[in-house]
Amino acid sequence: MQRILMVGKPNCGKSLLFNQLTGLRQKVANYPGITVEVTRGRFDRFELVDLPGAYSLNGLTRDEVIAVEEIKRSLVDDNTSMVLVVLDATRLAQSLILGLQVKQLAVQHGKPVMFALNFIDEVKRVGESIDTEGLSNALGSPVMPLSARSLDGLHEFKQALLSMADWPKVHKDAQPPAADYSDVASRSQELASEFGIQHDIVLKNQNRIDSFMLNNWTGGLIFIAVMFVLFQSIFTLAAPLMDGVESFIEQAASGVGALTQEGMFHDFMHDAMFGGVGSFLVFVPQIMVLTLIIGLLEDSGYLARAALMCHRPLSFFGLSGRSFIPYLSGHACAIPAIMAARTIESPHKRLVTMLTIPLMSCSARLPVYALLVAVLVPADGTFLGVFNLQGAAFFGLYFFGIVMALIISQVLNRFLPRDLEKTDMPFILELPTYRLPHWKPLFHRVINSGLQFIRRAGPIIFVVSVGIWVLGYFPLNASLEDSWLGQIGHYIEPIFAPMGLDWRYGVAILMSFLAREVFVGALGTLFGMEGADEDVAGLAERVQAEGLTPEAGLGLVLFYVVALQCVATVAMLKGESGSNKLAWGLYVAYGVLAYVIAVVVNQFSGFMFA
Amino acid sequence: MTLWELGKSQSALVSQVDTALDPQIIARLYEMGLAPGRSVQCVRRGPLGGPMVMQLGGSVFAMEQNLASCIEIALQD
Repeated sequence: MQRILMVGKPNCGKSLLFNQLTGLRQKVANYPGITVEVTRGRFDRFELVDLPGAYSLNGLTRDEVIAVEEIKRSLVDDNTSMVLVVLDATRLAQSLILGLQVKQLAVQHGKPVMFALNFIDEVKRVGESIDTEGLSNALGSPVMPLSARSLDGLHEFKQALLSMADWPKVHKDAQPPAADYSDVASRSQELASEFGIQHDIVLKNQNRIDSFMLNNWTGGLIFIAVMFVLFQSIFTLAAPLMDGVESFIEQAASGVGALTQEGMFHDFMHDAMFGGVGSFLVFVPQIMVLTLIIGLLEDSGYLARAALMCHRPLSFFGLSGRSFIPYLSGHACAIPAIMAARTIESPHKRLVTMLTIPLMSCSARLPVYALLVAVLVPADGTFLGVFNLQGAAFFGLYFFGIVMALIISQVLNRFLPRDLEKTDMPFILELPTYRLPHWKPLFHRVINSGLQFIRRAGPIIFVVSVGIWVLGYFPLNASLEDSWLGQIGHYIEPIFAPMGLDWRYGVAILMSFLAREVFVGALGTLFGMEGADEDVAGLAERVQAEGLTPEAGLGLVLFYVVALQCVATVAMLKGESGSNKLAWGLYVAYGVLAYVIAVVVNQFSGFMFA
Repeated sequence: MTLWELGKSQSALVSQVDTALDPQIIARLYEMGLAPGRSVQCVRRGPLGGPMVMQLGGSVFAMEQNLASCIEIALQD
C-alpha cells in the first residue's frame, strides 16, 4: 500500500487531524532497537503514517533526533507517495521551519508535498484571514486551510489530498524546483510576516491565563491542586477498574481450573499463569488512568507550565524541568516513564532522570505498601486529628521515594562521568496555546498505553512467573518449605536476619526480586493462606499475630520503596541507556541500598516504637 | 546587556549570539527567531532565578539563565 507521511511541529494539532482522517482503526508500531512511536492508519486507499513531532530537522532532544531520523528514512522509501506537512496557522513562522526543511528534502527525493494549515477556526475567531493562495504560490505546493477540531475545510482537504496522492507524478512535475532555502529561518520569518496573522491578539489570551498559572502564589496553588487531583484519581478512578480486572481473572482462572484435571498442568495454569501473569494485568487500568490525566494536562497546555515551574527547583538536584513529567508517570509504572525521559534536552540530565525513576512508588508497590501499612499502622488512628493515619503513612512512603530520588540524582550528578565531547543542551521550552483537549487522540493514547505496557512487560513477567513457579513446585509433592525455593530460603536466612525477618520473608523477597508485586501472594502462601492477594487485611492480621516487630516492618516497607525489583524496568533501562552494565549495576546498587536502609532501620529505630 | 537582564514587559533587539555556543544550539536559536536584528519581549521573570518567559515572533518560550546570558541585546522602547 502506498503511504502518505504526516509531519509537523509539536502542538500543531497533527494527532487530531490524523484521527479525523483515519477513524478508529490505527496502530502504534515500534521499530526494533530504538523505539519510535509511529502511528499508522488507513485513509482511503492509502496508509497514513503519523511521524513524531519535531521543531526542526536540526533536532535537539533525544525524541527529536529520533523523529528526524525517522522522517529522513521514510522520505527515501519508495512506498511513500507524498508528504503532508501540518502547519499551525496561529504560529506560522515556527511551523514553517520544519515545513520548509521537509519540503526541500521531499523535492530532492521527488516526493510531492501538501501543506495543511490547521487551526484556521482560531484565525477566523480573531477576525483575521490568511491568503492561502499566495502562501501556496510562495511555497510551490498546495496549502489547504482547515480545522481538525471544527472540521472547517476538512472535506475539501480530503479530496485535494486524495487527488494528489493518486497522481503524485503529475504534481511532482508541476512543481517548481526547490528554491535554495539556505536560510530557512529567515525565509520562514519572511513568509510569516507576509502571510501570517497579528500575533499579539492570539498571545494576549495565553499570556493572561499564564499570569495566573505561572504566578508565584496562584500558580503554586494551582500546581498543588492539580497534583492532588491527579494522585487522588489514580486511586479512586483506577480502583474499581482494577477490581474489575481482578475479578475477571479470578473467574477465568476458575473457569479454566474446572476444565483441567488435577495435577501439574492444573497447578501450572492456576499459579503461574493466572496467579503470576494475571496479577500483573491488574496494573493496566492504573496506567491507563494516569495516561489519561497526563494526556489531558499535556493537550490542554498545562504540562509545559508545570515543567517550567519545576525547572529551577529540580535543577538544584541536577535535573531538568522536563524531568517532572517522567517522574510523574513513574508513579504508575517506570516503563513508560523511562521512555518519556527522551524529551529531556540534556543527555546527562536525561540519564540521571532515567536512573532515578525506579524510586518513584509505582503501582506494583501498592499491594506491598497496603499490606505493610495495615500491619504497622492502626486503621482508626488519625494524624493531627484530621488525616487518616494509614493515608498519611502512604503519603509518607511516596514522599520518601521522591526524596531518595532527589538525593540520588544529586549524587549521580556529582559522580556520573559526563560525555565531554557533547555540549549539554540548554533548557528551552515552548509554552503552547491553552486549548480544550479533544477526546479522539486521548482515547487512542490511553488504549495504546495499556497495550504497550502489556507488550513490553508481559513476556518478561511470563518468564519470571514460570521460573518462580518451577522453583516453588519442585521437588514434587513437597511443601513450599521443602521446595527448592524453601531450601534456598533457609540457606539464605542469615542474610535476612539483620533485617529482623525469618526465612518466609526471605523467600517472599527473593521471589519478588524480579517482579515486586508477587510479594503479597508469596507471603500469603508461606503463611499458609490461599488467595492472600484478595484478603490483604486477613494476611495483615496473620503477620501481626506471628510477631513482626515494628522496626523490622518499617525496614521492610522502606526496602520496597528503594529496591529495583522489576526485570521489565531493567530491560527498559538497558534499551534506553544502551548499557547492560549500567542497568544491572543499578539493579544491584538499589538492592544493596535498600538492604542497608532496612538493616539500619531495624537495628536503630527501636526508640520510635518504645 | 544580555537577554537575561531584560526586565518584565521590556522589549529589545537581538544584537549578537555568543559564537562559542554549540552550532546546533545557535541554529535552533535562529530558527526560534533569536537572530540578530529580531525583536524579543520579556513576558515574565521566574522566581529565584528560574527560567524567563519571552515572546518571540508568534511564540512564547521559556529559557534558563545559562543560555539567556549568552545572547546580547539592545533595549528598545
